[in-house]
Amino acid sequence: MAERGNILTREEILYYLMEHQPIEERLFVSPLLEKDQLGDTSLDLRLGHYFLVSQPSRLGVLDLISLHHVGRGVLGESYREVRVPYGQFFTIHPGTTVQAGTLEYLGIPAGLQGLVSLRASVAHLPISARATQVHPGHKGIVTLSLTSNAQFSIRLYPGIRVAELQLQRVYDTISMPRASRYHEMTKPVPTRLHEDKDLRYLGPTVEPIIIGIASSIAAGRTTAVGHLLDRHGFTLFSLGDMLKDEAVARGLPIGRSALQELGTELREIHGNAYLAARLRTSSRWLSSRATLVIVDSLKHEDEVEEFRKQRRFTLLGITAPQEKRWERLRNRRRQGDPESPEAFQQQDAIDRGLESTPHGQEVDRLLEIADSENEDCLIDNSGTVTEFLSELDRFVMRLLYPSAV
Amino acid sequence: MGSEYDRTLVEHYITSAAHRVQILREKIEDSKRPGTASVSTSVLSEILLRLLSRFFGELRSLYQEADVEPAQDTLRQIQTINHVNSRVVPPLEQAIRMATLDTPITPIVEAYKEIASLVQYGTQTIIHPTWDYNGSFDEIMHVLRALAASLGQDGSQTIFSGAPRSFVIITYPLAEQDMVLRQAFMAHEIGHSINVVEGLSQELLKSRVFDAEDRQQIKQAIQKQQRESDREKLQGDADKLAGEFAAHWLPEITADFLGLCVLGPAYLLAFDDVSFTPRLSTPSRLHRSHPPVQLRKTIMANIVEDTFLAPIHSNDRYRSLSPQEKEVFSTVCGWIHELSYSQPLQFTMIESAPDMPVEVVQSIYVSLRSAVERAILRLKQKHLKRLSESEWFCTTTDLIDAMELQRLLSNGLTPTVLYSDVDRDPSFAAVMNSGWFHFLHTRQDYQYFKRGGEEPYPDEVRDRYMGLQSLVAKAIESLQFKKEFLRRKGHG
Repeated sequence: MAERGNILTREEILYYLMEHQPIEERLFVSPLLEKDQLGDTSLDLRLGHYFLVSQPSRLGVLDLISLHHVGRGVLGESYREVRVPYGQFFTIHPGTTVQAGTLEYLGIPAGLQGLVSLRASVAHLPISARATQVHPGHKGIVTLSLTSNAQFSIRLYPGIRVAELQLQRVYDTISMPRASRYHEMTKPVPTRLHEDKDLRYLGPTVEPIIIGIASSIAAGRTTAVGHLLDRHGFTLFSLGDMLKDEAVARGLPIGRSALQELGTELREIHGNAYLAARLRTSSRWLSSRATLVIVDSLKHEDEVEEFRKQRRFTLLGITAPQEKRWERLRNRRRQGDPESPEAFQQQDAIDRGLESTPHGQEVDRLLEIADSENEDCLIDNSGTVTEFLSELDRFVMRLLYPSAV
Repeated sequence: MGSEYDRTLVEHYITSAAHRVQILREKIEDSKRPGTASVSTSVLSEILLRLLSRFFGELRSLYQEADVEPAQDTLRQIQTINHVNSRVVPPLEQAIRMATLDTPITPIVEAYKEIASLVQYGTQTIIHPTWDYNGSFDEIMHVLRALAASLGQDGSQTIFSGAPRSFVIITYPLAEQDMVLRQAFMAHEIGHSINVVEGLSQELLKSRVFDAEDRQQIKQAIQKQQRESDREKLQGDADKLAGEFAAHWLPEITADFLGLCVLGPAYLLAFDDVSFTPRLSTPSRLHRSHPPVQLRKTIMANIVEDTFLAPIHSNDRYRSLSPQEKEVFSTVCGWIHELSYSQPLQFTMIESAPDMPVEVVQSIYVSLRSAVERAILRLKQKHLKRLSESEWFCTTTDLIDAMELQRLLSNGLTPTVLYSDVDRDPSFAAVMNSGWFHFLHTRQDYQYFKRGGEEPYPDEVRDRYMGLQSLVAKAIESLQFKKEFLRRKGHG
């Protein structure tokens, strides 16, 4: 039996386009404007409408190691998207590079992979582009990085055949191809290199930026923590979780009142900064290479002082009027929440330090500190969630880019 | 000579030549002043001037032979030109192009313009974004001024005469530019365009859908009022209001009906999504400009069920769909059915008559509601079959295509290829409906967005939602590109 080659021929490409079953595993190329785009072992791809060009921004130097600090926002400012309608042109100037998307949206089955390179006719022009691999399971357009080596400007029109796709078999079909970061893209996007998790292990050691959160009950602490973790890439260390673990180890209940009592007891016996000091000397803290850290559930001023021994610590206070907080508590119905306004007020008073217990919680005092000091911050979460999250974003931006904001 | 192109060219040439000659003449006159020029220069200039004059004279006689009146301003040309040569771009087209140069040309806008062009032959549609949701008039003033200027008219007016063709300007909020599925709502404006051509709501008004029985209801409510002196005035006011409301509501409900004809369920689902915004729903107040949102939704849902969904069950192609595709249809039917139910609506105030007693307000609403329902029945009975033969009508085929295309969306692909018939491209209506069907089918995501509260939704839900928008936008863009490419190829 004749051995099949690795690179798909025209007939094989057609088979994968039209006849392969199931439909979800067909080769998908849309729009395919003309059948003669199919060559003997390749498929011509056309230029799409979208181009990504770099432009001046706040980004003076692109440091790849600190890219994950910079994140999407500032990096996104460094690029401008240009959409060129049918029949109009995009001009690529001498010595410049642009990201250009293909017109065709591709779906590559798990048993194939592709290589996209410039067509010979385009390669004969003073334009260069590196070959792009298209992985098994890829869905989306292909982004070409086009560089002009000409002494003159060149006009590019959407629809021009610029590249060719060669398809190869993957001998062990990947059962569940991993989706890439550029999955299902319909236009070129800036790099997502900053999502590489190992960036933090490379480059110089960086003193972490630490945000300590002190919050009244039901003021929005959980929402804030979630947002900082998801949107800004912080790592969480929670004094509240440490307290819960301690309660579980002692066989104690983990409701709020019980935890308040346990916390007071620990501070009385071991000192007001006990939990904070324990955290700072824990192996998890010491071995952490996180550069952006949240310490959650601060309850005493001495805990704040403990963390101020770290050079880049900032206190964030979150509060809201008591009625608003009670309303939220009532609506969220979380296990362990007080069931009556009286029970809530009692827990709130203890939490805020109104009961004047010597080693008790004193969240009100922490909120005062947050409000009074320059770099610290107090957010009143009386408004909508959107307003709250915007305030948080502004706080983070001031912290990370003090000269830019 | 004699073609309009030639006339324009000659006129332009003569105008510029005459101008050049004038400048030369002035220079020569200057040179003749004592002490300003040498003799040889003035002799040469005289010769040149005579030659030019002769040439100019010959040109003028050629112009007269063509029997063309030399137009001193090009504006008059526009009014007298009936057929525009494609090689000449009249100032009107240029004016519109310049005025709309900065408007984003999104694929969905191009698709709507195409539908609009199918509806109104010879009419130009301008689709323009605005900052505000209500599309303030100020935001399209620059387009109106450009139109006016090219017609030689006052730009502060809104009625122009003498334009070679009619125009439709449709605005949409810029904030929704990336929310492709929501833009199905623009079908309502296309519905208005169709109504202008078809005159459907005018016909409804003339046929007195708001009839004597409706007035009787209002009269009875008024009779219950205590003071007789009040009753007469109330009757007059109520009749006037009811008439005004009918005059405004009927075109709106007609536009809804026609919007459904253009886009099918996608229009209703987009309407439901947009109207979820609390600002658009003021439950207890009757507005003159539009029927209550809930009433519109209920009426539309019933039309969708009868006209668009019911015929699908008996369709052979539907029967051959896969179980997954049929499941999508069940989901859609379920959602539409929910929309077709409504609680009885209670209105306590009319915005323009705040002192009208509550019972009278409610009776006016009940009467108007009957009129609107009667209007829809009439539209369906008299016009639906005829409209369904139009090129722009959303058909059963489009909706079954949508169910098939939804399968591509669920696999992260653009809804552009009909594997059951690869030589046929899906319509705009099919693609929009496939997006909505997919959104409803991923019920959990849909519920996040319908909750409408302050609770934030997870990032992955938002990313999936925006991913769906971009896949549908890409599909529309690809199909538009292909259409234009093949159209040009056909002519080339």
